[in-house]
Amino acid sequence: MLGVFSALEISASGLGAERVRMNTIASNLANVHTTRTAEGGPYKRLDPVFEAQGLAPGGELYSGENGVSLVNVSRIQADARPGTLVFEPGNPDANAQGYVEYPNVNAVEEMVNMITASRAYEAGVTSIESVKQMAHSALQIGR
Amino acid sequence: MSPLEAAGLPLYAPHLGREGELAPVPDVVGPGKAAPGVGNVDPTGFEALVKDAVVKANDQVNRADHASREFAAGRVDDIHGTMLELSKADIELRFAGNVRNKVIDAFYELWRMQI
Repeated sequence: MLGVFSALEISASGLGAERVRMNTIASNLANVHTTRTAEGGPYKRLDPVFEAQGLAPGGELYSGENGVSLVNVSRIQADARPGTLVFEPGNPDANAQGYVEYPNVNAVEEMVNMITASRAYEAGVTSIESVKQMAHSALQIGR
Repeated sequence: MSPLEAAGLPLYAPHLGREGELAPVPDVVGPGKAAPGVGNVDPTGFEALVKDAVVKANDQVNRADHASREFAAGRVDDIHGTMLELSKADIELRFAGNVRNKVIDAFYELWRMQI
């Protein structure tokens, strides 16, 4: 059954997803110059993959492709784009030609993603506020 | 003529029986939902209605309390989850308060009734 609190749950799942996104952005920005990882090679930019998850499986109105859904972070995926090669013969991670492969992280792109993540989080908080406001208005009926 | 009839409205609400007899209260509370240790409470009665609202609100307040403790102790770092539990508790508690006010109002209405 969908009620006031279902809307809160849905918004909360969105907030959680945006927080995961913010974590990957923080990781990408922190590792913008990381040339060495446990798997070898430079750091690869990470991207979360969001997946819609039906809120009430089996419910008539609220399942299927038109149903309301929670957001679920299905996985965090590495970006396959190649890194940038910089000529730095003195760097210990330079290859035989003297080039160092830096991560495929673009700081400007990450800043833009950070803005969209924080705006999406704000939008989720605003919808929670509205749902709370609706609940409070509903309680005014009884006055 | 009653004001309702004057307005062209049926005298009795369809969910009420004829002759002003109250239909059974819908099963809002249900058996087994009353607070443990409450005793033999009519599961559809006046008292059970208040108790159910209070018990639900109390459960939610306990959940919110637990969430805040976990957050304060650093065992979870789910800020919005904690705030959400607190908001839910706030709404549930207000709801319980409103139910209580309504029920007390109804009680006083009966209390003041001239026989």
